[in-house]
Amino acid sequence: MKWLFCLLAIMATPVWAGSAIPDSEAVSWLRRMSDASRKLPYEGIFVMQMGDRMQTVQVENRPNGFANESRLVVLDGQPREVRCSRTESVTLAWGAKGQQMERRMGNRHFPDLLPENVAKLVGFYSLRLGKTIRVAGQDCQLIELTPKDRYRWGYRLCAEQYTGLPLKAVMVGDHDRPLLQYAFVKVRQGVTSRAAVAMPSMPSVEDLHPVENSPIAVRQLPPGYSQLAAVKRRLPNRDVEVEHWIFSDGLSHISMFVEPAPERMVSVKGQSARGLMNLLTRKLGNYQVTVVGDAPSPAVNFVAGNLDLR
Amino acid sequence: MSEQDIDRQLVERARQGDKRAFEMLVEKYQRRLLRLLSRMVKNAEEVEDIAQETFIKAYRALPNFRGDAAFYTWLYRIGVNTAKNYLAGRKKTMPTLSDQAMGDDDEPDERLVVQDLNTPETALMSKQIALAVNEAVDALPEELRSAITLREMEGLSYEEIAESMNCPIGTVRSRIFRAREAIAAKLRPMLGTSQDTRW
Amino acid sequence: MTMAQAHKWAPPQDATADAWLSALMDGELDDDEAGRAITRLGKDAGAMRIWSEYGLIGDALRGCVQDTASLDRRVKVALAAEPTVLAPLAKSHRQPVYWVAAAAVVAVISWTVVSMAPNNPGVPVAVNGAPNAPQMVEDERVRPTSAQDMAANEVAPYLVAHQDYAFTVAGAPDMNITPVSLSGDAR
Repeated sequence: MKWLFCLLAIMATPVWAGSAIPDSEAVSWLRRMSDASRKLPYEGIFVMQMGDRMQTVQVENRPNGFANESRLVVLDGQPREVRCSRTESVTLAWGAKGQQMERRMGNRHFPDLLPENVAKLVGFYSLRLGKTIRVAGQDCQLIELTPKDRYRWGYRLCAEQYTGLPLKAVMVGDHDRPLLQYAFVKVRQGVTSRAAVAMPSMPSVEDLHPVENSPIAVRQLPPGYSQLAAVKRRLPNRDVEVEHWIFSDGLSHISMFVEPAPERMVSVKGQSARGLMNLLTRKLGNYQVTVVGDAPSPAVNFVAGNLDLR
Repeated sequence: MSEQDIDRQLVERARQGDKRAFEMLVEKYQRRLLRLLSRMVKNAEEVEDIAQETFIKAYRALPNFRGDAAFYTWLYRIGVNTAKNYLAGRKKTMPTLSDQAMGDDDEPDERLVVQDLNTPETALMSKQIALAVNEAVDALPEELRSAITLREMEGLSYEEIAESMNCPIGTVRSRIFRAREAIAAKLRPMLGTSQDTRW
Repeated sequence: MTMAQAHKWAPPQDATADAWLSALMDGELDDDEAGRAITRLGKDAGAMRIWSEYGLIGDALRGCVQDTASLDRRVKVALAAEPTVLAPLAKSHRQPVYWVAAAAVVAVISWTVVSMAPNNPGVPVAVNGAPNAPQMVEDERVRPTSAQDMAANEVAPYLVAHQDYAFTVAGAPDMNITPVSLSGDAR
């Protein structure tokens, strides 16, 4: 009977565990993960870590038709809550000045980090199924995304083995160094105990307009990147209106800001402590262009270096 | 899903004022719409009238198209409603023919006098084209045939086809393109015979 | 300016002239490529003919062949006469998301700003503001401090705006940014 058990054991492990696998298999996992993070009700607590900084967040997700609503409560420091609906999110904070509310454009958060079109990632990341690991007491399948070029960071994702819900996500840089991580410490899938997320009503200030007739044209983007949006907006705490363009390959994001250049403008280049974020400013004609992204500097430099004046 | 992607992209362009993008949608769906309407209205000339009206109504209604349903579903609904209105209108003005039964108002009246403008010649041409396409597909090397069949008849995305045929997505893209070109090459002589006829 | 060399756009695996049209038809181009393809298709009568041939092939395989010459002509004429529809820009279905948490985290990021000095790119010129920052390095080869005037609170709004699309777990309406000197040279 021993040989039968051995055979069963061999069959139970995917033949390709730990080595490169057909793209289609990993894409299926990514797709499951992408769907689960939106369509599955869940509630739990996760930790986000970036360098020395850690933050604990309570999250609940309520699918609602073809969209979902969610709420996050920050458990450390100043009380803060973010409520997300299909189209936007509102941050509520309680501080010395009482309650403050702020609307943000983004409404997605861990564990919903994968793009809609996961198949596209195959072109720019090598996908690999790793071993099974335990996260928050549950068995998960590890999926590794290794960049095929130097224009993006890598990712290690752990998906709960039955539902595909991402329970852990690590963004990795050079030499597999973790740049940013999220991990559930506790999660319950399939239920949410709370009532529906009540979106606070905020005055609808239409302060975002699509960019028209920009003085700048993007000649090329780094491979795999495409433009997600271009809006005219005001920068926080500043009075100037700028163009804000957003490019992404589905996982890494780069912003470009265009505004009239100040009289004495100097180009600068910057990098955050672990290299996660990179920034570059340059002058183009009479305009200042600022490119910043959570992507390696070659990607930021590429964007900045492939612009034309119209 | 991929089907809806291109439609969504074309609809968005059309909504931004690009009429050519809407023409691409017309080109894509006009045969299917004609076939749908022919099941409701027997007169070919009237079917064409209704189809034209449907497309124009759809174009005007683009700002109201929310994009959460498939474009063709929305288009077809407009087509069906236009056809129903047309038939309801006709019933009131159509002179009663001795052999025409009254009553059952919901069903399109199939006993109206029809003038089929789809001449025997063009009907035959349609059949010949369908035959030529199918023959051309059968003549393809197997991997091209599988790819085009999975795409056009099963409606699979490139990614799903890649999974099914166990090859990279780039290969799927190439095979489908080559299949289409091979079939088109056989069709072009037939299509080119009449400058006027566009299929 | 020592920008990254222009990277040649890698053509898709099958780079033959009309493969893009086939991929466009199947909805397999990403939004950006599709936009360009649609523009190109609109300007090229030959490509439009191929678009209609491919459409015919698909419909024929599904058993749907109809004579559309007359309808096609009529719709184009009627469409030309229609006032151009302009709808408000649709928001993308999927909002972009960033991995990086927002403002409060930015406050403790210690930025190492690298000068773009012509003679010696890559020499760290000045880092400060964050606790325990190294001393400013004096380097004559580096262009003097015109850009160091640019304080961290000049850079911060861009970071916050970038993260505005991000999921703002740690977001706070007020920013608390420590100044960082920047230097570099103008091109």
